[in-house]
Amino acid sequence: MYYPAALPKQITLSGLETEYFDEGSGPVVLYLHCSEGPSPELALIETLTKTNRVIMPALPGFGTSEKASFIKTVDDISYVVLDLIETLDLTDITVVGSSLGGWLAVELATKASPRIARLVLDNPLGLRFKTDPTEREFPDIFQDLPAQWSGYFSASEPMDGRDWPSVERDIALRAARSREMFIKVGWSPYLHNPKLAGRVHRVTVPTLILWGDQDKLATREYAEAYAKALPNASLEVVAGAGHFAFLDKPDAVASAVLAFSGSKQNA
Amino acid sequence: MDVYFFSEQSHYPAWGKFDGMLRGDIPNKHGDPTVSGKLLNEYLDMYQLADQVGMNVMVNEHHIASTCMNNSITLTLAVLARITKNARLLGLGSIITNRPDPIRVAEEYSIVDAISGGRLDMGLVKGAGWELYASNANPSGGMDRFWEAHDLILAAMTRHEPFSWEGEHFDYRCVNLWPRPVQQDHPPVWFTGNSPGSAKLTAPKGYVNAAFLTGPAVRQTFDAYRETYEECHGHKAHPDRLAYLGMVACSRDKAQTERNIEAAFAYLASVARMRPAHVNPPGYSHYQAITSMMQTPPGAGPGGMGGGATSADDLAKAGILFWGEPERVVDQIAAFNELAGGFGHFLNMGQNAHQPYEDVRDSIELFGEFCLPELAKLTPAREPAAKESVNA
Repeated sequence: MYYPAALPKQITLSGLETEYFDEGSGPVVLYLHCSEGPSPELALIETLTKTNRVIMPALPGFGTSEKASFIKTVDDISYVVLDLIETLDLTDITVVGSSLGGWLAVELATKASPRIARLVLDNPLGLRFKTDPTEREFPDIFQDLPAQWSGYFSASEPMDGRDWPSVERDIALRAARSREMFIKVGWSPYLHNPKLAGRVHRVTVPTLILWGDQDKLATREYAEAYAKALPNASLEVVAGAGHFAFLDKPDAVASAVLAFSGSKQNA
Repeated sequence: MDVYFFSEQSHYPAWGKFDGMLRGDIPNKHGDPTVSGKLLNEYLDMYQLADQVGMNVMVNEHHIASTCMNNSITLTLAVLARITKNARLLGLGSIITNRPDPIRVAEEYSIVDAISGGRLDMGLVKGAGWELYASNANPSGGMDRFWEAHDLILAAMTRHEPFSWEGEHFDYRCVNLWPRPVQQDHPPVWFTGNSPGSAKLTAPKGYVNAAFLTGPAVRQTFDAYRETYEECHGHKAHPDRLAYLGMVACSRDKAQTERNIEAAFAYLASVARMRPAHVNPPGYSHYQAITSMMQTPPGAGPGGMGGGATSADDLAKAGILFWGEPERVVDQIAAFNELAGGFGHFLNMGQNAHQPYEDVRDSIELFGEFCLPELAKLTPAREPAAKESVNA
């Protein structure tokens, strides 16, 4: 079961008290979490930590990280992540982002930090390719109760069955805060930033896009169009994974991250 | 106690044509525009009749809903300003959390106040959760928008030189309200407040707190208002700071009573026909409150409206439906008023679901003739000179 959980460290970014995870040693992986909030107990994080220094902030408004009125969009959040990168003096970073975090990784990379070496986008949101205003890029999950969102997110984890009445209040509070922040940045425009299409040409770092073939939120056509929109991206299909490939197929995602970052480092 | 007549102005003939949700989902192809026009005119007739028998009137506003066709408080109030003579005109309320242009709200309310000669009661509300799906306003941060819109509307009505506004949510180069409202400094403000937490926000302002169909839980809400009001203002709140909305069906005979009760139950059944996700999307309520709801085991929460009452007698005791011959209706309202600790305004939800014009007409006439004089004795109105300062 995937429950958001506490992260061990605290740092002030853009004036906001932020909790984060920073463990392991080796090449730096900056992991940007999905809409459900971060957890150090994720299998993907545990695997990557064996060979890499893994840094995972709880983004503003997620977990217990402070939010502010100047954070209204994923673009706004990307400046806080830039602060994190510079405050921790991270270099040669492999940025891995899942879903909302994948969108954030692209927003981040448009700011062209020389510290970012490559991106791995695990079923990223953030772009809209449809041109008919009456067609959505993604089904409107906000028409459903949050308990039902996992039907769109995961092909394997029975997240609908999460037993909120019996978890610690601290964990439930993290989930409720995370969902509110997800709505804040994802409500309108719905799960994308219209301005990003005019900025993605700046994402010149090597980029690997992972798409789970059971994804019920984004289609294969979407993932292909995404890969085409970025100047230096390729697409890899993760068999058996839903939108949260990191959750459904953590080993496959970890292998893809390690292979992509290793080959690029050796190149 | 004074009384405001109210109808949700539904397009009830569509309800049987669709199995799903009556808000959000029901396609408007099920609504016949000719029928809409006929019904809307009937609702205006009811309001006009309510004015003639001595009641005030109240309109509400919803969107994407077959349960309430009135999608603009001020459009309907503008008509009522012209066709009523004496009634106070309560809009409860304009959903300022979701309106991108609060100055438009101030302008339209001012028109209503001007045309009616100062009969407007100005309701400003947060709005139901499903309204966020109609307006597409962000569920998160709604109360911040609400308070800024409130401050801006009040500033527009009370400042008499042009000014600019550069707030967190709203940005105006030139605010200069023409016409000004007739009631100075501004028309009385009403908020809805169905919980002690809401009442505690309304009381410091001295505004009227209206509770809708909450049943006996209204006592805690009103007590929270009274307590907070006294702390903030140094004296007890007059009962005219509190209002309660309940369904009403006065009838002449048993057959009419049965028809009215059936319509009231049809309304109650319609309340549940809404997407669960639309009730309380993340961000609509404070995350701590949402956490408490998440952690409430299924079935352990509060029951539905009327506490799941299955009989008309239970609905009357629960303060949801006041029904029957006029004496009985007075007794029921008086008992509930006592339970609530006393309120100064009763909001008479006097047309429900498919209840036809003829039955509503009888109910309004009976209520006006027999109930109004009795209810006036329950909580006497203040002398006009002693009216609460609207800037309290």
